[in-house]
Amino acid sequence: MSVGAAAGRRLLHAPGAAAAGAALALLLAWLVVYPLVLVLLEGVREQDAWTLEYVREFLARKSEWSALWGSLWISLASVALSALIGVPLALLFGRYDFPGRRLMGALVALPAVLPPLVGVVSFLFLYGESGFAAHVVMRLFDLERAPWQLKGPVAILLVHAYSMFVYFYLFTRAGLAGLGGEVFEAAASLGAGRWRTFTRVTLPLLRPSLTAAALLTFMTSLASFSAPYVFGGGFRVMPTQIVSTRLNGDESLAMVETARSRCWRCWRSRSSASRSAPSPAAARARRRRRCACAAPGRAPSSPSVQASSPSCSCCRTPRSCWCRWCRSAPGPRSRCRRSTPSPTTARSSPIRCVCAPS
Amino acid sequence: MTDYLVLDRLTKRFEGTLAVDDVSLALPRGQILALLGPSGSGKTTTLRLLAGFESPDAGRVLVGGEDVTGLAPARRRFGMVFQHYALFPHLDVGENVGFGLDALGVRGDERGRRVRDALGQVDLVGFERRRVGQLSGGQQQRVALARALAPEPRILLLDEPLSNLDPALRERTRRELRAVIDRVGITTVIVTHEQEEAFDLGDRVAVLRQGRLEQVGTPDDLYAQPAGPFVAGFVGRASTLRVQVEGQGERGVRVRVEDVVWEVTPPEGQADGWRPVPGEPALLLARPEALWLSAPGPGALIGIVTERRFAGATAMFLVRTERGNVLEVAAPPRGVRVGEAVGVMPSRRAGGGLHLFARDDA
Repeated sequence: MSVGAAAGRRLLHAPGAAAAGAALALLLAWLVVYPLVLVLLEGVREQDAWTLEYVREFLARKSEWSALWGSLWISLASVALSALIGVPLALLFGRYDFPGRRLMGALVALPAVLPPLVGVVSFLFLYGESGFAAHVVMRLFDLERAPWQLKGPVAILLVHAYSMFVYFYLFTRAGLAGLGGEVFEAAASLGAGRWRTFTRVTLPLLRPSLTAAALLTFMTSLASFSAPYVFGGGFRVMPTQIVSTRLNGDESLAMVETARSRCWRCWRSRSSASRSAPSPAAARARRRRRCACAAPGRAPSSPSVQASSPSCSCCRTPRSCWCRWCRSAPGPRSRCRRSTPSPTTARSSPIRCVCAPS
Repeated sequence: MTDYLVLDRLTKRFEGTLAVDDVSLALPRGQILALLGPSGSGKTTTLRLLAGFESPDAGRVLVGGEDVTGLAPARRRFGMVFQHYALFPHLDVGENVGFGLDALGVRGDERGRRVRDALGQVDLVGFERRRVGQLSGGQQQRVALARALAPEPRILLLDEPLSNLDPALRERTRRELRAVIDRVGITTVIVTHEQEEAFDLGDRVAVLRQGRLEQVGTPDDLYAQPAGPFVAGFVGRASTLRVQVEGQGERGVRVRVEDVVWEVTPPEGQADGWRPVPGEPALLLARPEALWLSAPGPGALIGIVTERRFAGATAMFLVRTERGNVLEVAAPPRGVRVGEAVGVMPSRRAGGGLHLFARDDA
């Protein structure tokens, strides 16, 4: 045991190691450090000057705080729920023998290979208000409306638990396989029943596996976009908040938000995999050219500002966010229009509102 | 003396193959039973059936008259030392040893005292706060023994307890193990594939082969009166010769070996009830000390010495005859040299060491 642990710590000194290290450092600088620094800088820069205005704005807005809080508790709850499903399943498949164990054991891990959006959409089709399950229940009990609605935090948690319990399942099974059966038999021969064996032997020995699974689930949940995007409704988490802010054209604020949620992830894990802001989704939404907060099914509406209302009629973003050129809230005689995104200036001017007299 | 531990016609099948086939054994309280056999003989499965980790397809396990066959391992009050010790790496030595006491509800000072006592038994006093990973293999083995003994189990089970130690340590640990078991006076079943270990530790030795019990008895019985060629060959060293029974002689059975006739005296009361019949083929198993080297002459098998293994007072000589039989003979080390032609004869001094068995392949 001790020998194995010591061998694990022993590192090799190969002649090419230094070169490989340098190459890796460059790659990391390019793929991880540069985007991070860029996002941080963009958040505190305005054309040629430094500013903390966006940070201030971020801190001042209630919606930002609630999105931050939403992200945090959704992620923690996802970890708890995934563990509750994944760990018992792993124990069942890893410690007990029954017919079909191998096949089912492999099937259980399948949600891991599902793209998140596919999982979300299938949940919608199966269990949504107009989905398959709702239809069946409505037929069976002769109801006019679906007895449930798949939306809000509960729906997000369901989808997260479905797709992320696999982390706990796989990590726990790998951990169990590494332990072998002897320690459990030893516990049994010493008079320990199932519960005592679980709390005093199984759990402590699986702690490294469980910690890794929890960390991975937490980070994935923090960065999860499609589930909150489709099911969230009025409930916002950081990724959806970032996308909506960005679609509204307020890029610097989006940068502050991104930096904020990144800092979190960095703090959770020093070895944060480089994941950028959910830009593919943003790009998709941008291509569709409609309001970011427009929930599926709702008619796409062009962002407009009504003179009487202090915020957007559909996404409730404060009016001040709309226009970055004139910096003033659009007056009753002006309208915000979106500039056409041009491929040549993609990075610097994606979708910005321009103030134009109507 | 009544038997404390009884295995009654235990049978266990794994996917069609019989791992343990109708094994019945009995052991008086305080004695040590060694299960001896090559790998795949079912000795470990028998131990696991005893511990309750496997449930038998047929048969019963009785302890002091109580049928424990259906009892979960946790409720049998059997202590077990595993082949790889299976210590809990996240607990220190004291917590490992105390683990079994928690299930008994032993707490506080009493728990501390019993942990200390158990560690004292294996000569590890003061090791309570050590991490398991910091211990040597021999120390881990002793902690595993202390952990198994601390709850004062009814039966102690040992699964190849010495196989993970290096040979130099093995013999010393074996003596210590024997001393601890004797001191505690616990009924013990030990599984091993090494004959020397089984003979040294076991009051009784059960030889298993392909799931079947070949013979059970004291080490002396097994050596002097093996029940069959397998036991004779597995327990101690022996040369096997195919012979033809000629008839009864003055001092024993006359058998033809190659071209010479030997008179051999097998021990009385052959276990399988087989009697040599004149004219029938048989197997002769000869212990090295039951043969002796002579000058090539009448009545002696002629062969060439191919190997000499020095072992102090006597040496082991391998003699190959013209027909390819190889005999192992114990003789004074200075007698002959490798390459020399010698004669081999059954020793007249040694009583026993020569066994005749039925030959199935005749």
